[in-house]
Amino acid sequence: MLKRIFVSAATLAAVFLAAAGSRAETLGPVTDALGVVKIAKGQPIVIGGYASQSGGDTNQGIDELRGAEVAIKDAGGKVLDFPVKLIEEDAQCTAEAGQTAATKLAGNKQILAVLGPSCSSGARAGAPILWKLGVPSVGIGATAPALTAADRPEGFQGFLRVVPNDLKSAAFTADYVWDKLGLKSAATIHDGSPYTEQLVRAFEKDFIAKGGTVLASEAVSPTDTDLRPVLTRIATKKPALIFTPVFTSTIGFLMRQKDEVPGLSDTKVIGGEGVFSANVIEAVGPKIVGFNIVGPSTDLFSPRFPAFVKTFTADYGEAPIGGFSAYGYDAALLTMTAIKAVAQTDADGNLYVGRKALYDAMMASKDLPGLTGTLSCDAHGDCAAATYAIWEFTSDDTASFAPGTNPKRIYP
Amino acid sequence: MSEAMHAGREPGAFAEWRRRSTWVDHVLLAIRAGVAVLLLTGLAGGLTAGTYSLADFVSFAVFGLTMGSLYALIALGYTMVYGILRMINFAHGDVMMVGSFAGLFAAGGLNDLGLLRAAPLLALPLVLAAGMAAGAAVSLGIERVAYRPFLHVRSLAPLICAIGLSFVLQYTARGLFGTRNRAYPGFGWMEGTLDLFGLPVPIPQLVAFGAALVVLAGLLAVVRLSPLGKAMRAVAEDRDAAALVGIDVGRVIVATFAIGGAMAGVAGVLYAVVFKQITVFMGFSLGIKGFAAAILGGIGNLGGALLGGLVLGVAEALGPALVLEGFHIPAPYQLKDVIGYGMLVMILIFRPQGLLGERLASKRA
Repeated sequence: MLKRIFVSAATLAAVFLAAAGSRAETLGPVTDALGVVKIAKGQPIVIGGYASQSGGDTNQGIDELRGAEVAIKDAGGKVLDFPVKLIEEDAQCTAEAGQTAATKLAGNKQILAVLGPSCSSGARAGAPILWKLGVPSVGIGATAPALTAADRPEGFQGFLRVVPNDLKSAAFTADYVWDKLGLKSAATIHDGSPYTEQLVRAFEKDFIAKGGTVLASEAVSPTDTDLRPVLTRIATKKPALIFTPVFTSTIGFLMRQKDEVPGLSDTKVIGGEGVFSANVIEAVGPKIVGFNIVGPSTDLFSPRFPAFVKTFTADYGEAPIGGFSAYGYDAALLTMTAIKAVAQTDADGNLYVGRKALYDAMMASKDLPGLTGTLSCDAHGDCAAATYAIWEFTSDDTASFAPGTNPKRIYP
Repeated sequence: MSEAMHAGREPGAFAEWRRRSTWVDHVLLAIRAGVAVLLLTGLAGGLTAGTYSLADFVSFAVFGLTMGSLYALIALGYTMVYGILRMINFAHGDVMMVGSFAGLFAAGGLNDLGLLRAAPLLALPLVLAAGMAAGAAVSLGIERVAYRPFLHVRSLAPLICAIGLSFVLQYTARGLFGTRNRAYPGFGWMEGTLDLFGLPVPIPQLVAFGAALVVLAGLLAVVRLSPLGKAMRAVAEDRDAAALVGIDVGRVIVATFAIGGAMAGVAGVLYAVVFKQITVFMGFSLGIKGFAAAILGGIGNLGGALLGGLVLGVAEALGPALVLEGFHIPAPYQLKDVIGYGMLVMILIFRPQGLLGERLASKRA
């Protein structure tokens, strides 16, 4: 009897809880299915940002959030006369740090949306935490296809991105290798991270579809320093190309050790955009000259990009690396535009933003003139405008790093 | 009474084992047999796969010895501190990182002075000396902060302090030197390869291996032959008794930390000589490998640290090609650490005292 009462009570409680969870909230002039954020007059609109602020990808993460800061500054620091405040957290480039940073941001109930993270591993852990509370996030470096796949889990529904999906990068690289270089065989190396693994898998699929042969699919750990055994194994298959979008440390070891392995001296290596920085020049050393990477085509960004670089350089005392800062800019731009579209004020001058309405407005972004190009979101949250290019390093002098000259765009 | 006894015969060894053994012994035996079968199957598969030539295997083994010698140098720091204080210094990997950076800046200074080119043979010892000095200095700081205050207290405080100091070292270095990968300079004469029995071996590997062995031999000589070494062994045997016979225990502990730190500094520089790039976060994973090597060889045993390091290095270098390849595991090198740590687990199960055992402990027993 006691058991039956307990079960009935628990069921009743569950029903009430479910009903409470699905009930729309009304605050001021706004009713929203996911809840409403009230910003009192004079208080700031709060946007979160999580990116790599420490660890091996610090340069990328710092640039991304600086780009967002420039976007806010370009908007006069305000949206609808409310100051915009960006709260930044360190997501490093790991699932653990992404989870921690997202949890910290989720603790702030005033946050309307979050920009970031830099890496797919962080997005995989962080995006569902934010979306569970109705906070959409705009990826600025997370490129793994699964994050915006048609069959992605519910937790990722709130994730959008202004950085291109790796499927684009993979198709572009396969085109370049097959059509331009005329190479028929390839090997791939990933480091187990969602970004690198999904990118090489997509490349393999596209390359095979073109008629190419993937002779080896290898993996290393991000902490591996001795890549000779992997390279030896690859050398036995004699591929014409190694496609490896791994990060700076690994590329440094790989390029330095490649020529020590017999049979690989003529094998071309193409890296990914994760090493689009001056640091890769130092990590690789003299062998960087002639090294190719596939990365965003910054010189095909919008005509506003050079002016942005000048502003960025003036504000931070150093030029941005690659195109990461532009993604941060575009993520902030898209978010602020959507807030502007859905926010409503009451008679006292307070601002109200419905969470579902904001998410819908972000997902509905169309023909938005961003820094990387014209942003338009598809049904799954891919909003990127950037196109890809093949870049080639021309000097091993770290001071010479300047996209356009070192590395220079060689394709298209 | 068994049938054998009834028949007036002595029971056989197997029967005796069966009589005395418990189900735990049976499980352990099954694990041993399973591991042996797996290893043999993998070995047979790996050797018959024909993926690698004999030269490739030799090349892997040579590199494994190089890496192993570096692990051994790091392991010595763990094993010496453990031998004296029965504590693990978990900041030791980061001491290695500091030594590596000190060597980098020393090399930069020598380059500015033109000595790197003018006297390249002299440059490496100077860079090593800088790494040793920095390693020893930081290690002394760790002793002062994390160990000396707790010398007469039985608690986990020193262990926790050392873990905390590991982060302090990492993030201090991050603040001072940045997070980017730093390129280590070449020393001119060390570029290229040397032909060893028809096998081209990179000179930095040979230099690192040779230097590590020389330093290890020197350390063993100090511990075995010098008055300091005798005092260290006495303190390790019984700290109170050593103090009673007039040994300055505090100074011995300080010397132990200094020597361990110097060894880590050497390892840091030699690591950089082989791999040519360093970061402020490199200490953790290498420190764990050094710790594993110390356990593998028998923590507290200097020879064990050397053996453990070499075995771990060679197992990591050869394991994926010899064993995992045999099971047709795709991308076997991503599982390189499984070989090393799997071996460690097996050792801990079947020979908890390590390969050589802890000599002091067995003496006490």
